[in-house]
Amino acid sequence: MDDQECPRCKTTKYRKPTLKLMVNICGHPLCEGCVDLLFLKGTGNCYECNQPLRRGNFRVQLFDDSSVEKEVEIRKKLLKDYNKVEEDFNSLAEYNDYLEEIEEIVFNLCNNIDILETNNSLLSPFPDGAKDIVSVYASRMSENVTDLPALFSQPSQDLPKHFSSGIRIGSNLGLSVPAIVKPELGPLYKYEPTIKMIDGPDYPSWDDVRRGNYLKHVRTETVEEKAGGYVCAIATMRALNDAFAGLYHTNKRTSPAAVET
Amino acid sequence: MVNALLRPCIISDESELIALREAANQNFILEHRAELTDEEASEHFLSASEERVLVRHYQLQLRDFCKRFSPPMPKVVIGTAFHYLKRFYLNNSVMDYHPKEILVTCVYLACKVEEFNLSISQFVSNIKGDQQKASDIILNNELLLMQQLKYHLTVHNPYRPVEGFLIDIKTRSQLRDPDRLRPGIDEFLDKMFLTDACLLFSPSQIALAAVLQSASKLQENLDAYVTQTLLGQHANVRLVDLIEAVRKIRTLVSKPIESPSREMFKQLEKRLEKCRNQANNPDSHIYKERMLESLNDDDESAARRYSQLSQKENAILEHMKGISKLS
Repeated sequence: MDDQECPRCKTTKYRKPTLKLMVNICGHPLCEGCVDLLFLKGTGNCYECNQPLRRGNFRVQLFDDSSVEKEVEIRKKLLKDYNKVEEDFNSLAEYNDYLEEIEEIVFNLCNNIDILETNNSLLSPFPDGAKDIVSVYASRMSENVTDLPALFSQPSQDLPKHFSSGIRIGSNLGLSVPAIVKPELGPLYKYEPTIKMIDGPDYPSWDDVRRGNYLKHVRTETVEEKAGGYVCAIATMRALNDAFAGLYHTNKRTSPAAVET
Repeated sequence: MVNALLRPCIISDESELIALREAANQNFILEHRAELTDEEASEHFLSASEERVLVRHYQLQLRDFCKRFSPPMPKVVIGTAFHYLKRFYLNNSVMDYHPKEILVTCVYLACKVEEFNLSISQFVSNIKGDQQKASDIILNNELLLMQQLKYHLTVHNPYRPVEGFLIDIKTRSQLRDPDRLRPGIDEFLDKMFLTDACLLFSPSQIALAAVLQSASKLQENLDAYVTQTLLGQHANVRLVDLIEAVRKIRTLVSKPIESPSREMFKQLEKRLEKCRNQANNPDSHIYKERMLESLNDDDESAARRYSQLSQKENAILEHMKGISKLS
């Protein structure tokens, strides 16, 4: 993909590896340097199509094909308003028509067909008080995503209606609740004690070691060792363990089960 | 648990040990005899028992090497190294890999496994002769050794069980000053490592045998401790087997180890030089060639690719020249 080239200064990715192409709403790329130069005042016209652009709307081009970049941007903007779901329609056919309409608008905007007309027809699904309806849909969407109906419905009377800052709780002022994905719960963990095959006589338990006289015969841990989590009972237990384990080992090939009985 | 850990390293009895060594010897001879008749082969190659003699000799060398080692080594390293050497020659012939090379590799690996931290340069400074060559040999053989040990690198040495028994004896028996036993125990374990005992018995049995042997040397009697305290209510079932194991270990260890006479050893060495596998001899041509080959492998393929590329480019240039002439 070394053939990326800025249309204005003709710098290529090959000659300047740090080259970053930026695109604006019209979808025509420019390199970072040219953006700095042309949009020094914050606004300006597109180098290719003369469309007035704002500098803040430039983004790094993610796709090699800048028309894809443009379409993604248009869709993002459009679907904020056109967010009806299937349940809002009486039949599937109507819903499909609605989707068809969205595609039509996207196609027109991408290919510069009847731009003015299309822009005017935008938001026509909500002729009056469009904004309110939009926000209803927006809040419903976020509810669906969070999947925590209990949080919204049941304890609403007990919970304070306002934050201390005076903002109403759940009023969806652009603060959509982040989606919480419920983890799939497997079967509960069940502890099973490890079975030690000692193959030797029973050896003293931890309590025996700690309480009995064993510790009189080993070096007690220093303060530093104790701080590190070491106590001499550990070493004592290990030595005893090693001494007792395997004492019953025989050269006869017997299965462990037979030894147990 | 311990039993399961030990199983790969413990052999059921002595006849199996002998069978394994015979098999390793026969395998090598079958592979390398080529056109030799049976008689010539038996003259040319070492027999399994002759291999044993050599390995025993090198075990003594291993012990001396470790004793002289500076900085001084912990005992567990020596025990582990012995274990590795024995296990390596269970499945491999002395003629295939020279024991003097495997020996140092065993010690080096044991140092690592037992957390006695040494760099390779520190390690080879203990070796007389060409140290660069020695470190090459060790590093080349290290992976082979691990593979032949089937990556069972943890060795259960009898030293910790000995400590356990001493603590237990101090706590639960009337023996006066059990620390007197230590010199006798160390001596016993030193001898034990020259035998096959550590392949046949569990480390705790060996430790118990060492403790009992040392006690009997001091005219002390620990029988009551073993039968009543140690085994407790299981004494009647388990005692027979345990006594049998301890008895066997003690006879194994107390058997005088016949070290081969100098002449015999020299003669064997000479024959080994002749019949050993030259592909594993670092002084041989075959070995050097093989090493060089593996070293050059990467360079060569790169060079080949380069020459192909340049040929293609030349062809294109020729083609272009032709065009310019035409136009």
